[in-house]
This record gives sequence, C-alpha cells and structure tokens, in this order.
Amino acid sequence: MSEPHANGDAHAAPDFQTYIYVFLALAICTILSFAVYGVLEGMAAAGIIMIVAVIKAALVIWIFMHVKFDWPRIYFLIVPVLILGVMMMFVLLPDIVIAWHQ
Amino acid sequence: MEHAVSDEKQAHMGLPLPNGKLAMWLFLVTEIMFFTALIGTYLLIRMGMPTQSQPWPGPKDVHLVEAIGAFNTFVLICSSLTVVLAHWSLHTNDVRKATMYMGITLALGCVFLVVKAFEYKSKIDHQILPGRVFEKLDGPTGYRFYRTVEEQLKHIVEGHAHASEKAREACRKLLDELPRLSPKEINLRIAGSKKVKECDMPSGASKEVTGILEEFHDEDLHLSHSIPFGNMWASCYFAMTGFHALHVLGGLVVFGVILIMAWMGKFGVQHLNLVEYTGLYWHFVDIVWIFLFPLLYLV
Repeated sequence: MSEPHANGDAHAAPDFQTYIYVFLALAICTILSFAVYGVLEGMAAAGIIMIVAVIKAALVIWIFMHVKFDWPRIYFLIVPVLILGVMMMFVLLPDIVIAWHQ
Repeated sequence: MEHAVSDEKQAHMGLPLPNGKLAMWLFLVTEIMFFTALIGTYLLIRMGMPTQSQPWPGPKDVHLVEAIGAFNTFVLICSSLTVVLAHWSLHTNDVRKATMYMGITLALGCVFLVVKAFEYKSKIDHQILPGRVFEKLDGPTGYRFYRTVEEQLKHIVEGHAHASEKAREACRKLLDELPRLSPKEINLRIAGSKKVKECDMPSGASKEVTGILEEFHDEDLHLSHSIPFGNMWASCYFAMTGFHALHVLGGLVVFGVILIMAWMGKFGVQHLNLVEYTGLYWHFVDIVWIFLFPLLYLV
C-alpha cells in the first residue's frame, strides 16, 4: 500500500494532544454558535454564527486534514477551486438577488 | 566520476506527494465545487426571493429541531476525532487501537444517519416535501388546501389519528365550521396568528388567534398549514442533506470494509495511507455539515 515519494514526509501529522485540543475547540465553537442563536437575532447573529463555522472548518482542514503540513504540496489544487467557488456565487448574485427586488 | 553521481540524491518526476493522496485531493476539490454549487444556490434563492410579508421559513415553521442539528454536529466532530486517532494509532504501530477507533467512527456515522432518518420521517409526517407544501392560498391552491384539511380533520375526528380528546373536539368544531371559512381563515385557525405570515392573514382578522397546533402541541396532530416558500425550502433541504447523507453512507461503507479486513486479520500498518485518505474524505464530509448546520438550523 505504501507509495514512494520524492521528498518531504507525506505522513507528517500533529500529536495526540493537538488532536484533543482541536476537538475541544470544535465542541466549544458548536456550543458558542448555539448560544449566539439563542441570545442574538438578525444579521449580527448570522454573521457571528457563520464566522464560527468558518473557524471550525479551518481547524478541521488545517489540523485534522494535515493541510498544515501538506500546504506547499497541495495549495495549487485548493486555491483555484476556492476562487472559482466564490466567483460562481458572485456571478449569480446580480441576476438573482438584485434583479428580484427591482 | 561515476561514484560521485550515484551518491547524489535521486530526483523523481512529478509532485512530492503520494499518488493516492493526490488522487484523493483531486476528488475532494471536485466535491468542493459540487457542494459549493448546492450551498451557493441555496444562499442565492434564500437571499433573492423572500420579502417582509413572505419570509423564508424558520426552523419552527418546518419542524426542524435546532438541538437535534447541534447533536448531529457534535456526533460528526467526535467521528472526525476518532478517525484521526485511528490514523495516529496506526502511525504508532498500534493496530488494535486503530481498529477500535475505526469501529467507533463507523458507529458515530450510523448514529448521524439514524438521527437524520428520524428528521426525514418528521418531514414526511408533516408533508414538508417538495411540491406538497401549501404556499399561497389564493385560487386553485386554496381549494386544494380546503379539501386536504377537510380530509385530515375527518381522519382525526373519526379516531384514526392518535390525538387527545380535547384536540379531537377542537378539530370537530373546525370541521363543522369549515364550509363558512375561507382558506386563509382555515389556515389561521390551524396555525395561529403567531405562525401565519403577513401574506396569508385574512383581511380584518384578529392578531391574537391561537391555532389548534399551537394549543395542543400534539406531534400526532397532522394538519396542513401554509408555509411561504415551503416547497423551495424542502427542495433545498432534501437536496443538500440528502447528498450529504449519501456521502456519509459512502464513508461508512469504506469504514465497514476496513473493519472486515481487520476482522480477517488483514489490516495493519501497511494500510496507513488507506486510513489517511479515508480520513481526508471523512473530514470533508464533516466540513460540509459544519456549514449545513448553521445555514439550515440557525441562520
């Protein structure tokens, strides 16, 4: 199953403690977003909840998916997709959101 | 001269990345585009169509329980931890522990799907399905709504549904009055003024009407009421959570195969890459839910 690789450690990974800390951070973030939902309303609540979601996703990607170690080797795959994803929404935005309210 | 050349570190063609990891990341970026399209379309529809009088349905309107969504989020976060711990255990040559963590991950994935199945059942029971939700109550839809409610009330009054005696009595009263009420008035009597949106309020109606559903809080009392954008909500909900659930199922199949391999004694440290790539996929599934949970349940 193991495959050869030219350089760098393809199995570089954080230690047990780091995983536990990230898990606790994710659990706290989930409680936080739920608490914000109960206390705040409107755009403020939505903004905070979505920022917390982005932080959670970033933690999973960076630590659990080992992107912290693999970034120099895979950034060329991730960056274009993220740009295209955001672009797709902005391209549709004027047509659906703005035109609808006119 | 020859000796000097052979001492140099050999350079390889291609990326400094195992083929399997490259393939998994290529697959994941296509998945990112797939879910970006789904979530992006949902956001645009949600931002573009609703108005003040016809808002987008809230969790309470469509029988979504926020605590259940939070529980499922926690379950997936736990499963993400156990899958990285499986990889870590294999990294430290502890095959037994890795197998145990894989088993826990499989169990957590199953818990997620069982909770989702209960949630889907609730939607089916309350007829919150694409094309089955009553939106505007004018014209032919109003007549269809009248006929549906009439059938539902008869079903409850005749004792086919597990409703309390008081709830049944209220339904009997509404059934008697039904021919004299407009669809919007029927809707108000069922849902109550707190739930009925501005666009569905009958002209001159009181702002403090307690609906049958609000009064009895009976889960077995299945009475239709108007939910503006309910069909669009149901389409988005089932498309996003359905595809996500299929991805969870796919992950569970791989975990199952790994556990069968372990049971047959064929699982070991040589499968470190397999566990890592499966973990990458599973974390992606977790990330999708990290965004679906707030977008569907909280925001």
